[in-house]
Amino acid sequence: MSSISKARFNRALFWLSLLIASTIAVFPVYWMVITSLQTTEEVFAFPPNFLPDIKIENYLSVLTETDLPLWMRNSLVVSLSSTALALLVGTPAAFALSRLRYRGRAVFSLLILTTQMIPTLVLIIPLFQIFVQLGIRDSLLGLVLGNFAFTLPVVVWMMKSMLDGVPQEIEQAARVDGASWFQIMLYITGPLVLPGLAATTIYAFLDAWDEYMLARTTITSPENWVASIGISSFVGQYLTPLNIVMAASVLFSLPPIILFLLIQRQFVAGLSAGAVKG
Amino acid sequence: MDKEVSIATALSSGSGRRFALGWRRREQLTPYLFLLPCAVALTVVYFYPIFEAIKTSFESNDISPGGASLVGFKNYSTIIHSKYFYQALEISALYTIGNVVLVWIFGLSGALLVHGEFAGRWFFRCVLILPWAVPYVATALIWSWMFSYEFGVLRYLTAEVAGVAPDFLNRNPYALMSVTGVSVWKAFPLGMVMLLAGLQSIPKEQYEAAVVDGAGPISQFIHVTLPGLKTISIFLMLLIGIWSFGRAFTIVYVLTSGGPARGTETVVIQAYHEVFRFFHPGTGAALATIILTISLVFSAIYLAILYRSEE
Repeated sequence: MSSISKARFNRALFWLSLLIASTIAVFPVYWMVITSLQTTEEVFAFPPNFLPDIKIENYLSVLTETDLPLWMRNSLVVSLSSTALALLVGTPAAFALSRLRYRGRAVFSLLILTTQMIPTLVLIIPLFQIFVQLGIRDSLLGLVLGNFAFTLPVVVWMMKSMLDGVPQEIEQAARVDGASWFQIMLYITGPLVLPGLAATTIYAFLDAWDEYMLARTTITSPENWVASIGISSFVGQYLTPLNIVMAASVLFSLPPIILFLLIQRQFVAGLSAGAVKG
Repeated sequence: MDKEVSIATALSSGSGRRFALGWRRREQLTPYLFLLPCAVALTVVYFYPIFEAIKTSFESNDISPGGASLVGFKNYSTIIHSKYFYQALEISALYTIGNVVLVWIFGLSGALLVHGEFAGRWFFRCVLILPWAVPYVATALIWSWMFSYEFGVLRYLTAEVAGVAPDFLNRNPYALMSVTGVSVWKAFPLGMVMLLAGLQSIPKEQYEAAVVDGAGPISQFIHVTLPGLKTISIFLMLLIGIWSFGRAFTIVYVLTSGGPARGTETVVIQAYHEVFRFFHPGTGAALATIILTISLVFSAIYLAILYRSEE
C-alpha cells in the first residue's frame, strides 16, 4: 500500500515539474500572443488580464500602419539569398569532409569548428570597413554576403554529420561503374540526404532571419531595414503601442517557430551529432 | 581506400595507362575542387577580417579614410589602464558563469523530465524546445515588455507571490540578473537537447548493476547518471561559455544597451560602443582582439578535449 502511494506521489511530482517547466518555456510566447490580441486599454490594465477577449485588429494595423511588410520582404530576400549561396558552396565542402580522403582534411575541419568560436564583433569591425570600400555598406547585398559567410560553417558541419549517417555501399557500387564523385554527390548521395538538406536549409534561413549585429551596424536607410532591426527599433520608442509591437513580433517569430517545429527531429539529431561527436 | 574502389582503379588502368593516370589525377584534385569555394569564402569573411582587426588594433583612432597611423600598443595600454575594462570583464565573467551554470542545471532538469517513456513525451519535448525557436530580437522584445516597471506582468507576479517589485532592467544588480535570465531562457533548450543525447547514450546495464548493488534513485543519479554525462557536460559548458563571453550581443543590447550605469556592459558591448558609438576603431579593435584571444584559449581547451575523446 505504501509503495503504491509513493509511486503515486512520484507521478504527481513528475507531472507538476513538467507543468512548471512547460509554463516557463511557453509563458513569454503566450504573453506576446495575448498582448497582440488586446486593445491598448486592456494591455495597460493593472493587474494584467491573463485570459482576455481576442481581437485581431492589431494585425491589420501592423500591416498597414508600420513598415513591417517592407522589413519582412527585405529579411526574406536576404535570408533566401544567403541560404542558397551557403548551400551551394557548403554542400560540396561537406561532401569532401565526409567522403573523400586527402591531405589537409583534419586542418580544414578544425578551421570550420574554430569559426564558431570567433566573436562576431571581431568580424564586424573590419567587415564594416570592407563594405564601405566596396560601396555595399548600406545595402541588402552586404547583408546577403555577411549572412552567407556566418552560416556557411554551420551548413558545412550539419551537412557533414548528415552525410556521415548515410551508408556508403551504393556509392561504392557506383564507383565501380565509373561514376565521378560529382555525379555520385548529385545523383546518389544527394537524394538520400534530402531530409538533412531540408533541416540545414531551414537552419541557415533562421540564422539569417534572426541576424542583428551586422544589420544594425551597416544598414542606415530605412528602406533597407530588415525585420530584426525594424522590430527592435520599437524598444523604448513609446510611439508604437505595445499591442502593435507584439503583433509585429508575432508575425516576425511565426516563420521561425513553424519551420523549427516542422524539422525539429532532424534538426536536433544533426545538431547534437555535430555538437557531441564534433 | 576500399576494396571495390581499388578494383575499379585496377580495371580502368587495364583499359589504357594514359587514361588511368588522367583519371587518377582528376580524382586526387576532386576534394580540393569541392572545398575551394568554401575555403575562399572562409578566407574572405573570417581569416582576412581577423587579420584586419588585429592590424586596426595597432592603429590610431582616426576615422578619416587613410588617416589612421601605426601607434604600436597604445590602444592596448589605454584599455588596461581603464577601470571600465575591468568592470566589463567582471560583468562578462558573471554573465558567462551564470549562463553556463544555469543552462546546465535547467538543461539537465528538462532532459531528465522528457527522457522517460510517458504519454505526450514528444509534445512536451516540442514545448520545452520552443524558446530556441523564438528569434533573439523577439525574445528581447517580449521580455522587455514583461519586465516593464509600470505595467509588466512579471512585476505584478513577483509582487503577488514574493511581495517585492524589483525594477528588473533599470536597477543594478537586477539588470544583469534579468539579461542573464533571458539568455538562459533562450539557451537552455540547447543544453536540454545535448544532455538528452547524453542520457540516451548511458547503457541500461549500468543502472541495473546499480540497482543490484541496492542503489536508490538519488544514488543512481550521483553514481551512474552524472558520471555518464561528464564529457557532454564539459562540451556544453565550454560551448555556452565561449558563446556567452564572446558572441552574446543581441539580447543584452536590445534590452539594456549595457546600462543602467554600465551595469550590463559586457566586454562585447563595450567594444561595440567604442567602435560604433564613440568612433574609436583602434581601441575597439584592440578590445575585440583581447576578447578573441580569451575565446581562442577556451576554444583550444574545447578542441583538445574533443579530439582526445574521439581517439
